[in-house]
Amino acid sequence: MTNLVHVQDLRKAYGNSGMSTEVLKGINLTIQSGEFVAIMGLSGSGKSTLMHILGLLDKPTSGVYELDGAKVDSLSENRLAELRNLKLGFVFQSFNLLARTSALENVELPLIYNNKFSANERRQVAEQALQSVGLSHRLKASPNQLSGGEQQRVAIARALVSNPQIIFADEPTGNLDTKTSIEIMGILKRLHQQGKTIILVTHETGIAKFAERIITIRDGLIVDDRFNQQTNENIN
Amino acid sequence: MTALINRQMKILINAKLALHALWVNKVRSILTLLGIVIGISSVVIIVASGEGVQQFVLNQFQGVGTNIIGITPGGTEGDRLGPPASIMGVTVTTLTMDDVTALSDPRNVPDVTEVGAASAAAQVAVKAIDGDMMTNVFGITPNYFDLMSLDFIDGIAFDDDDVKTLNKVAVVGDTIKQDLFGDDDAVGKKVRLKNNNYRIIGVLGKSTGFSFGMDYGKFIFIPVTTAQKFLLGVDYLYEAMVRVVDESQVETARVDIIETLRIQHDIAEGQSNDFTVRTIQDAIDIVNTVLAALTLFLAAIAGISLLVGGIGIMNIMLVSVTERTREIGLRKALGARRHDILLQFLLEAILLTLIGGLIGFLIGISGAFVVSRVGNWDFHISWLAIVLPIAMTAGFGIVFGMYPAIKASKLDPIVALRYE
Repeated sequence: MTNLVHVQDLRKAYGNSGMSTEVLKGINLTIQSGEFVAIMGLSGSGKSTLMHILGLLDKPTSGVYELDGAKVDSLSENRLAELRNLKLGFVFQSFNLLARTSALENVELPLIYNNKFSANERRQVAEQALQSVGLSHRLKASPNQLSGGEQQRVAIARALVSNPQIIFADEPTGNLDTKTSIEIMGILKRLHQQGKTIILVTHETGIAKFAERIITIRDGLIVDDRFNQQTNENIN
Repeated sequence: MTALINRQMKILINAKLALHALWVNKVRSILTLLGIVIGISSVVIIVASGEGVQQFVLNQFQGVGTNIIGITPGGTEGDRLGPPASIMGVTVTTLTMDDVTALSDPRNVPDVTEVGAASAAAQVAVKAIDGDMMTNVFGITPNYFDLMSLDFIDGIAFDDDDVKTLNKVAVVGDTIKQDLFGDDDAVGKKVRLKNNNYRIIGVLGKSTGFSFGMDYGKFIFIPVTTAQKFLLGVDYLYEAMVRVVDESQVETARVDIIETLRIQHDIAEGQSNDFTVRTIQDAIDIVNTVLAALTLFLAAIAGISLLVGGIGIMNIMLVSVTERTREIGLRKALGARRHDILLQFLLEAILLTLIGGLIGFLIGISGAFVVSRVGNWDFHISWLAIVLPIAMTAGFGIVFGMYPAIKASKLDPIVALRYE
C-alpha cells in the first residue's frame, strides 16, 4: 500500500483577499492505494471543494497536495489535463453524459484525449467498460433513451475506460431511487474489490456506509475519520 | 511520425465531433449557413459574370478586328484614353472628307488598306406600312459596310461613284425593310427621306460584328456626301475608320494618322490635336478598366454580406460555447487540454463556413451560368472565381471562429462543470 493521495494543511478561499470566505481551513489527509473512502458532510461543509481539488479540477489556495508521490501545485494546465485523463475517473451526480450521443461514444470520450488509442481500440475498450457495468446491450442508446440508473452506469463505464487509479464519485446516487442507488453502489464496491481506489462524496449516511473508511467534514475541517466496521450491502 | 499521424487523427476526430455538433443543431446550423451561402454565391456570381462580360466584350472587339483604328473629331487634352470632345456634347466640325482622302493616300499612311467615313445620324420620319415611323439614317462610305462587318441578304452596297455623285441610293436594315415593305422585295423600291426619294439597292442581314447592342437592322445607310448635303446640311464627319494590314502595324499607323491629320488641320508644334485616334486595343483597355472596377466594386458589396455572415457565425459559436459550458467542463475533467477544446470549436466554425461556402459556390456557379445564358455570353469560370471563395470561407471560419474557440478553451473546468 502506497500513499496515493497525500494532503497537508490544504486551504481554499473564495473571493478577494479582503472579503474572502475560507471553505477549506487546513485539511490533512492521506489515502492509500486501494482504499474506498467516503467523504461525508452537510452541504456547504467543503466536501465537494475538497473532492474537486483532489480531482485536479480546482486548485487550493495553499497547502501541499501530492498525487501518487508527486506534487501537483506546480504542474501546467496541460499536465493536469493529462493526469485527469490517465489517472482519474469521475462520476457526477447529474451523470454529465453528452446528449444525443450514444452510450458507446460517451464512454469513448476520455480515450479521444489520449493519443495511444486507435479508433478500433477505443471502441473495443469502451465496449468492455460498458460490458463490465452490464450495458453491453445498450451500446447505441443515447442518454434520453436510458433510465437514470443506466445513465449513471454509462458514466461509471466512462470513468473506468482509461483504467484510472482513482475514481471520484460526487453524490453518484443523488438523482437515483433507493433500489438503483444500491445497484450503483454495488458496482462501485465491486470496482473497489477489483483494486480501484474510490473516493466517494455524499451527505447520506446509508450511502457512505458502503465505504471502508468514512471521513466527516464540517466547516472546512475534518472532524471525524474512522474505518467502517461493517460495510453495508443495504442502505439503513 | 507517430505524432504527426496522431495529430491528423485528432483533427479527424474533432472534425467528426464538429459535424456531429452541427448535425445535432440542424436548423440553427442551416440558418447560420445562410449568411455565408448568400455572401459566397454573390461573390462567385459577380466575379464569374464579370469575367464572362469581359470575355464577351473582348470577343465583340475582336469580331471587328484588332487592326482597326477609329478617328473622332475633337481632342482629349493629351490623355490617350480620355473622352474626345465630340462625345462630350461639343459639335466639332474639323473632320472632313478631305481628311479621309489624305488618309487614303499610302504616301501618308503606308499601312492603310481602307478608310471609311460616317456622318452623324439623322433622325428622319419615313412612311411605313403601319404609318409614319422614326428611323436613323447614316451617311457612310461604301467600305464602312466591310469595316463594321455588315452582311447583305439582298442587293448590293453603293460604291464610290455614288459617293462622288451624291447619288440618292439607300441600303436598309432588315427590320426597317419589314416595317416598310413586309415580306415584299425592297430592292428597287423607293423610300422617301425628307424631300427626296431614295432608291433601295441593298438589304442588310443581322449584323455579326461590332454591334454593342446597336441593332443595325433599324438603320438606313446612304452615301456620306448625300447625307451631308441633303439630310444634315453640313460638310464635316462624325467619325472615320481605318483598317491596316495587320494588328502589328496599328501603332505605326496611329502615329502616321496623327501626323497626317495635324498637317491637314495646320496644327502648330506644341498644340494639342483637334481629333482623337483610338485603336481597338485602346477601347479594350478602357472597357477592361471599367469592368474590372465595376466587378471589384460589386464583389466588395458582396464581401460585406459575407462579413455579416461571418459575424453571424461568430455570434452563433458564442451562443454554442455558452450553451455547452457544461460539456466543455466535462471534456476538461475527462482530460481535454486547452488546444483540444480550441480545435473542436474552431473546426466547428470552419466546417460551418466551408459547408456554407460550398453550397454558396454551387449556387453561385449555377447563377453565373444562368446569367451567362440570359446575357448571351460564354460561361467562363476562372481560377479566381474558384480560389477566392474557398480562401474567403476558410479565412472567415478561422477569423470568426477563433474568438469563441479561445473563449471556450479558457473555461475553468470546475466553473464550467458547475454552470447551470
